[in-house]
Amino acid sequence: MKDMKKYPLVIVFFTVLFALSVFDLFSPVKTYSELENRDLAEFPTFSVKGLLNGKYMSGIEKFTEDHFIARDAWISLKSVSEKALGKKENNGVVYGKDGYLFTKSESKDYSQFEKNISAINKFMDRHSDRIVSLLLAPTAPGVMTDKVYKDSPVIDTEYMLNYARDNITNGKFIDVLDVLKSHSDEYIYYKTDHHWTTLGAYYAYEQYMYDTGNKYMTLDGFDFVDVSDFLGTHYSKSKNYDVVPDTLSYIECDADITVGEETLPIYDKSKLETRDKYAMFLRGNNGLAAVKGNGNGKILIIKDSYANCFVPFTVGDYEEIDIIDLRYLTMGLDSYIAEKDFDEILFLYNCETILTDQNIPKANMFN
Amino acid sequence: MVFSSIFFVFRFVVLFFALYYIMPYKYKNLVITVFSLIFYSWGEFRYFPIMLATILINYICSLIIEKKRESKAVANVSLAVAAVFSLGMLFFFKYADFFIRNINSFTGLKIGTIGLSLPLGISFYTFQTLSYTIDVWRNKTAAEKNIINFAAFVTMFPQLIAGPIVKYTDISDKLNTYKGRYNLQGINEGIKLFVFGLAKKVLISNNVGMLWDDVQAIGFANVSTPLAWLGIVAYALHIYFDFSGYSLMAIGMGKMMGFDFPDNFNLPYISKSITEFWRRWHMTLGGWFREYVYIPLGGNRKGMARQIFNMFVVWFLTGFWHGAEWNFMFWGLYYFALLVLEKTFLLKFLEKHPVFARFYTLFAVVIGWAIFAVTDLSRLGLFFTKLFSFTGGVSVAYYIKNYGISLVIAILCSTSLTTKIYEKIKDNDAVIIPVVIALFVICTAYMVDSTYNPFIYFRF
Repeated sequence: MKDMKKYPLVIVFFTVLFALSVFDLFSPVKTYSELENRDLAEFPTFSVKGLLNGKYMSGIEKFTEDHFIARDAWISLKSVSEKALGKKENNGVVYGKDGYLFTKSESKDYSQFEKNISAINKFMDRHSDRIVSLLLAPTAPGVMTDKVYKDSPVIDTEYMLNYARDNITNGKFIDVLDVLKSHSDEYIYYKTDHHWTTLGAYYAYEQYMYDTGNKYMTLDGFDFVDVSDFLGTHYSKSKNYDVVPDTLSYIECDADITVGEETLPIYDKSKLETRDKYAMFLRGNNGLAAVKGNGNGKILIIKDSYANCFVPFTVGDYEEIDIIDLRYLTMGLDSYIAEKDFDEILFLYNCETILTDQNIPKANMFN
Repeated sequence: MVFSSIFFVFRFVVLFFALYYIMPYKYKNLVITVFSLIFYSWGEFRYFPIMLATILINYICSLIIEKKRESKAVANVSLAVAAVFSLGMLFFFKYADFFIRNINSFTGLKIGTIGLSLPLGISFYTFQTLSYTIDVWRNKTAAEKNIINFAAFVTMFPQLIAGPIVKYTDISDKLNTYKGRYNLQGINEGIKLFVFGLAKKVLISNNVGMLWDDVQAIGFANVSTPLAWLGIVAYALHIYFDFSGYSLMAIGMGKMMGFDFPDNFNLPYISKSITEFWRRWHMTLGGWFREYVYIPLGGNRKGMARQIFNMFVVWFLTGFWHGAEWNFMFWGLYYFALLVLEKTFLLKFLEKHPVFARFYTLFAVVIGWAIFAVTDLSRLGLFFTKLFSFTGGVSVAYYIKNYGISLVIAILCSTSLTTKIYEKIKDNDAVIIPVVIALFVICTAYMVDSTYNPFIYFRF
């Protein structure tokens, strides 16, 4: 063993390897990763089937990786290394200027998008006796164009909006790109999240009300409340060490929302204490929810999560606002519309959702 | 269980070496066998009996061959049994579906496919057991009497899934040396190779491999010609660093255990001819085909025509060994054509023009990787059209910015520069220890946050 001194690498390497392994074995198990905003893998339950098809083993591997000692520090180290390699993206998120993070989008396959537009147009044809519109919200790279590094692989907003404008023939197409672009020096998109801000949603609300001939409230009629240190979904993926946190805002609104049998305040302020702060709006995504307003008429909003901070603006304008998320909907739409006799129906989707979402054709099913 | 994972490094390797070093000498091969069988069965436990059968049949057949050497017929039948079983398993799992699909499409029949995944490392261990039984039959080596030692040879986990292809004669001495098999000098060397191999896979291969995935996500029809070229160059670097990284990890772990596995890669991208490239790329596979196919067929001793036929057989098999698809066959035959050209006249020209020779070799190899990478023939046609039609499409600019540094590092590490630096610093502990530990720590970070870690040997 005297020889050991001649080969210090052997001692150093095995010390590092064994120390990390042993400390890892005895480190406490976390169930949730604050940094990544997700539940960490659970240790798999044993089953003969899982043993034979390898699921049990791959579960153990995933568990070991997810719970490795000082996981967050390793993730930060990787992020520093990636920066040193000059990487412009990580894990499906592209870095922009001034701390903006964008969804990476490379595919030129628009087949699902075209199906979705055609499904919405078909729906509009059936309901042409009401005011039916599509508001296709651009995502950040389509509006904050000066924050996108040249040639970055982000969504082709203009192509999509042009296609939708040309192919929505049975209803209104609400074009919000110009109005959002004219406010692009304001804080209308989160840097670390894939949503627009409540201010961004306001400008879209204004355009919708204008295009449909409704009266609407001006911006100074709403009281904005700011919540700092918001780290959104893009950051949960990119985990870049040099992140710039966002400020989440919402407008004062004391309406209630009914989801199933339950009626609760429209905002779930307990979510503001967590990482997933955007989930405060509309109590997350539900198949069907209804908000009682203090205006006139009824509107149905068929939507993705971009509508969640949009809906509170409409509370003063309608008597009832119903909100449907087709991902979670299990009933026929047409009979519900006939029963409720909505005056307006609005499809509100962002460009990134509509590109890949397979639930939109459900609007024409179960009838 | 891939090598480049937290579980492998911080559980499997740790537990294995702890037990391997602690156990009394006579149990060390048992430790190898048990851990290797766990490693083999880890992904798909249902294939465990296949491994046991492979071990038993080759073990018994070789003992019979040795015992009944004077009776040629018995020895021949024993060899045939072992060969038919081993190759039959390989054929059944790897090639049966390929033939069924093609028979169906030619004849219009509707024979059902088997749809089974490949048992881990079957292409590698089949060649290893075959070489062993053939060597016993040729009386080049004595049969292994100890079944644990034999099982350790067949299953040995460091080289089970991606080579190098180790012949029994490469390690039989060490396998039967219980005391003093390994020493600190070898362990010291092995650690360095293991960590460098891990870094090749995790830091270089994975980083440039993503670029090829980008090109596929954009679609061959939509990329610009420069991006198509950048993509296939990235693939060439990706597969080299993946494969040679795995081999280096295997050789490193072998040294830590006290075995000297043969080298498998020797800077193939600095070659000045395709002939030279194949002496530097996956050397143990080339060596295997040379020893067990090419030379038995007569090699170059039976005239030019016969030699070309022999080369055809070897390169057809080499291509098909890499995967049960047409493109792998074409890839093998593409190299056959280039090697025949070089053998008949090109090599003399290349020797006189070394600069041209390097460009020609790299160009030919990169084109080869395109044939290798795209398994669907119509997509392959589309990709080649893109490579040579000089059309526009998604610009290369972003991908150069995003992957530029990684690509430059990969290219530099493909040259003799890194080996020269390594030779300079490898015995200077003040330099090599920080380098090895730093690389190991960074690799760990990438394994913890493994957003991209493909296993490319599932076809082999």
